[in-house]
Parts: sequence; C-alpha cells; structure tokens
Amino acid sequence: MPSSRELRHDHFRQIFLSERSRRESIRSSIGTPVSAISFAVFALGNLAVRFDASRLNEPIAVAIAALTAVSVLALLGAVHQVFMVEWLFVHHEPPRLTDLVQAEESLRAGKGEEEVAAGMMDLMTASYSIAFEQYLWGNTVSARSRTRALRLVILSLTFLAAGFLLLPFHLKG
Amino acid sequence: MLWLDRILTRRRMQDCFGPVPPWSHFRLRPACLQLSRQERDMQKLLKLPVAPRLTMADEELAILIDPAERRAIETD
Repeated sequence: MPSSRELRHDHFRQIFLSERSRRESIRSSIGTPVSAISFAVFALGNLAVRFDASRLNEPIAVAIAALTAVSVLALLGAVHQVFMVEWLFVHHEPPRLTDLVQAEESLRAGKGEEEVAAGMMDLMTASYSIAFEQYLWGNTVSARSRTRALRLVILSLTFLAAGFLLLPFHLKG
Repeated sequence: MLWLDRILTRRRMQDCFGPVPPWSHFRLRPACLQLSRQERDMQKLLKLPVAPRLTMADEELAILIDPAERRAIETD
C-alpha cells in the first residue's frame, strides 16, 4: 500500500506529464484555424474581384461592402488570436540534476540521512505541482485563444457567405 | 564572424544556459517573480528545508533560465 506521500508524488507527476503533452496538442491544433483563415482570404479575393465598386450607391452593393468589411475585421481578429496562442510562452520544467544534488546535500545536513528520501520526494512533488500549475494556466490561455480564433474565422466565413448570397442580385441589377 | 558561426554550427549547450539579454528582462520578470513566489509558498506548505528550484525555458530566445539567472532577472 503506497503512502500518502507517494500517492501525492505519483498524482502530481502524472498530471504534470499529461499537461505538458496537452501543450503540444494545442500547438498542433492551431492548424485548423490557420487553414480556415487561408480559405477565407481566398474567398475574400473572389468576392472582391466580382464586386462592382462603381455601384456603391445601390443598397445591395452597400450591404455586400458592409458584410465584407465585418468579415475582414473578424478575420484580422482571428489572425491576432492565432498569434496569441504561442505568444511569449514560457515552459517550466522540474529542477536540474545539479539543483537536486544540492538540495539532497542540504537535506542530509539539516534532517539526517533517514529523512533524505522522503524530503526529496516532497521536493519533487512540489516541483511537479508548480510546473503543472504553470502549464495548466498557460494551456488554458492558449486554448482560449485557439477557440476564439476558430469562432472568429467561422464568423468571418459566415459574413462572406452572406456576401456571396447577395452577389447574384448585385451583378444582375 | 559570430553570426556566421551561428548559421554553420549547432547552438552550443552553454549558450542555452547563458545570460538572458537585458532587453528581455522586462518581459520575463513577472514570470520569474511568480515562479519564485510559488517556490517559496510550496516550501512553506511542505515544510521543506530548501525551496524547489525549477528551470524555465523561453522559446522566444531559445534559452534555458536556471534559478541563479532568474534571481538576476528579478533583482535587475
């Protein structure tokens, strides 16, 4: 039966490792909003080529221009959020071996040989706990940015689709 | 020729632990202070004789920040 100290140590080690791997999955999932942004830019180009700017006095042309402007703003917002996913991220890792050896010597001098193993386990638990919290916070911020980017790009595509729906009436008139 | 050396050779390990450029101290200081505070809190909570000394890694500079360097950033 493991002691409560060992359980604590295993628990924080596990959640630290899973949170660190979650970092990579968030990073790789940025590809989805980036692809959608590329597609939106392509669609925006198509709409701009077909749009007749000389007829801006017509209500349908004004509506298309307004929808496109909102779409561009949403797209710029999505680009900003994609940037923020990885912006100034700092990784936190458990102590280096040199630091652990120093800590071990301090423990041996302060508490005696029999308390070294338990003290080292507590020290590692504390390190995993701090690193886990830092990763969790960083991942939460990154995941929020990624979700916002996805929402904004969907919003942008929706406005573009509305613009495309009005385009036949604009070209016909 | 240092710039050419950086292109033609792999970055050296000692450079990764090297001093953080002063212009990035301002950006890293809040993260360093927060980590040190967490280390102190954890030491108090678990009644440890020494505080845990975590390593930070900054991707923007591709640099590893050891606890001693962290103290220098905090006090700068």
